[in-house]
Amino acid sequence: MDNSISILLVEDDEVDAMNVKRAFKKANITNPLYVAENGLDALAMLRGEDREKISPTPKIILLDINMPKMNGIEFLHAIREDPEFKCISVVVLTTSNEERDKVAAYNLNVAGYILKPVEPQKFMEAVSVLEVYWNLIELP
Amino acid sequence: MKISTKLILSFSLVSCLVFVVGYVSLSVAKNTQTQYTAVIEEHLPVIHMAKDVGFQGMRMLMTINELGFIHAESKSKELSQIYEEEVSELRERVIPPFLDTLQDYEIGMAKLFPDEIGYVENIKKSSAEILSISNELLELYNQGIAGNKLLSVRATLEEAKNKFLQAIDDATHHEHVELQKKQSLVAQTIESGFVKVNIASVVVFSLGMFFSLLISRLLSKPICALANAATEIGKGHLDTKVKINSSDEFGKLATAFNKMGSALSETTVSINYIENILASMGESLLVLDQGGKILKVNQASTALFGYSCDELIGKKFTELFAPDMNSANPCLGFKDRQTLCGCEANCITKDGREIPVHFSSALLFDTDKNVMGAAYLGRDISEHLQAKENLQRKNQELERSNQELDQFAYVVSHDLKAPLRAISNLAEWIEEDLEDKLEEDTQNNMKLLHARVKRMEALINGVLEYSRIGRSEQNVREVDVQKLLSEVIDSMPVPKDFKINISSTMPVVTACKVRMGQVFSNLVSNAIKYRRDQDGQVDINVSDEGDYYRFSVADNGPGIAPEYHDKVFIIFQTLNAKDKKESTGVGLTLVKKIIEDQGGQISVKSEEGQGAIFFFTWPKYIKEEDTQ
Repeated sequence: MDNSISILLVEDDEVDAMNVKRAFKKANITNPLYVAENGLDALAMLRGEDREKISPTPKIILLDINMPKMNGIEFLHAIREDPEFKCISVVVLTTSNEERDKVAAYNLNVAGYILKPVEPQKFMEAVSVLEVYWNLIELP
Repeated sequence: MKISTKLILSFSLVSCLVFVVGYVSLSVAKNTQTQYTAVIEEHLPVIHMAKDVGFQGMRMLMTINELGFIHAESKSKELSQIYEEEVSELRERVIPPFLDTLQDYEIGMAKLFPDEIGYVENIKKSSAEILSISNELLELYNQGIAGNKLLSVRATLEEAKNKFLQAIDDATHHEHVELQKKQSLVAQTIESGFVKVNIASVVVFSLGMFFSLLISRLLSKPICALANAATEIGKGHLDTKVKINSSDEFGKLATAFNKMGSALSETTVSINYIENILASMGESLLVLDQGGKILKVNQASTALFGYSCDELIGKKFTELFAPDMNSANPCLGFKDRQTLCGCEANCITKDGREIPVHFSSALLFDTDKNVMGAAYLGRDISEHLQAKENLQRKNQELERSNQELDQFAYVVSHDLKAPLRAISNLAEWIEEDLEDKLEEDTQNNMKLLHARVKRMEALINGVLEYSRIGRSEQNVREVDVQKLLSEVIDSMPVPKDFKINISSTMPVVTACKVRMGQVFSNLVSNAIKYRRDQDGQVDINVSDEGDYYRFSVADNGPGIAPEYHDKVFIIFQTLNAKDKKESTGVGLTLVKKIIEDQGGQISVKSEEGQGAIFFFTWPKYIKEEDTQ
């Protein structure tokens, strides 16, 4: 995967964020990884409100659903309505096994919906598959 | 005795009596006639004969006197010739008839009244005297003797004549007296006969009256009794009986009448009976005429509306409703409706209270099938509505509380997962970071830690799954159970030597496929998980039980002791130590909840070491609320 492509992780749980980071490290994914604590935080980072705008705009977002202030689905709504972020590839990485959330997410054009495995080993496998996937696809 | 026989006997008796009266009258008449005939036939000829004797005697005397005159003047030849002729006339034509008459009279008297022959003797004596004097006189004439001698003879004749006339007179007088006697006897007979006839008539009349009264009484008494009984039955007293014990037609009629009464009272409900039912009814009954006016009410109506019977009767039905009801009252306009219907409306009582009333109404028809009114049965449904409302509220509360519980279970399990994952991750990382520095004990502990994390995740997933049954929508459709079972079995790891036998008669049911699949999947995977040795097997069968199917999943595993049969369905309950067989104790609880949600039941039949059979029923028809 092109190292210039930055990835935004929207995750409120610090350990989960560490988990992703560790997994990336293990999988030798060296792309810049930005972490936002919730939807609002992520939007602010994308748009550069009250802080420095992420540049270039991330082409991949790893999104948790259950978060304070603005949850994943609300965040998806917000970016899909914004022409600038409309075509960002979003992969949902969540503990929510709710049908309602899955349907809502896919309706908002997510590239995948992954349930966070409890065991670190399983998570590693998931991240490896993601890397393969990202290498395979062409991003705009 | 039959009435006809009684009548015939009575009239025969009266006829006999009339006959007796007739007989008496006739016999009286006959008696009278006999006596009268006797008078006519006996006395009158005798009297006539006596008069004849007198007449002939007088003729004879006159002839003798005449002879005296002729003789006195018989100087001439002519006269003496006349005299001679007269004498011969006397001798030949006057005296013989006289004697004949006298003789006839004597014969008649001797024959009819021999006792009174004395009168005849007297006449005869005086006649004989007259004859002898006449002869003496004629002798004197012949001799031509006149003078004193002649005069004295004539005087004697005159004397004899008087005697004769006296005798005749006596005889006729006697006969007349006798006749009068006989006549008075006849009169007496007539009078006594009249009395007899009168007495007989009075007797016959009295007897006739007596029998008439007897018969009329005989006829009218039972008729009156029957008429009274008929009136009573007409009033509705169907148990009325006629007491006639005679064996005649009336007795038969009374028996038939009583039978009819009994039959009526068996087949018909008496007015009293109906009145009692109406009075004992808890519901208010209002009978309306065509115009909606109240014709009849029962006691419950007075209790419901607060009006007395008299106040209700004649009132318009519409007056009983709350004023705001009348424009759109579902209970009015009964004439346009079908025969029977129910409706609810607010009524107003006499004291102004407004009460909700449920009415059931039925149209009343006359014999020509025309609507003649309606009957309304009203029931105060305040309590019912209150109870219904309470029930609905409780139901909503229960539903909410169930939903809250499910939501709670979901949120708790979901939120428990996050720290669990963190623990798992952190432990992993610690292990990784300290890779070479860990002692064997610590490594073992780390393994145990991972295992417990895994178990906790399984438990949380179980709770999540359990909570999802109540929360998630069910996709109900036709499910081919045979196919479903194949899919379920294909998706689970079945050991090579484990046999699964599925009956070929699996039905197609209307159900939520996922839920039904969960049931089979849990039961079959349990059978596999708890198999005893290598040749494990499970048999899946079904039987049609009418409204539902009864499925059975039977294994040949270690079985479940009866005392645990209830426990296996309780959440988190496992029979083996969790270290031996990794189990959450959620599976059967899940199965039980799914089945009971569908309206079915689950049970287990097993003995320790004998394998286990799980039976569950699945309704053929989904409950309405489930499909909504």
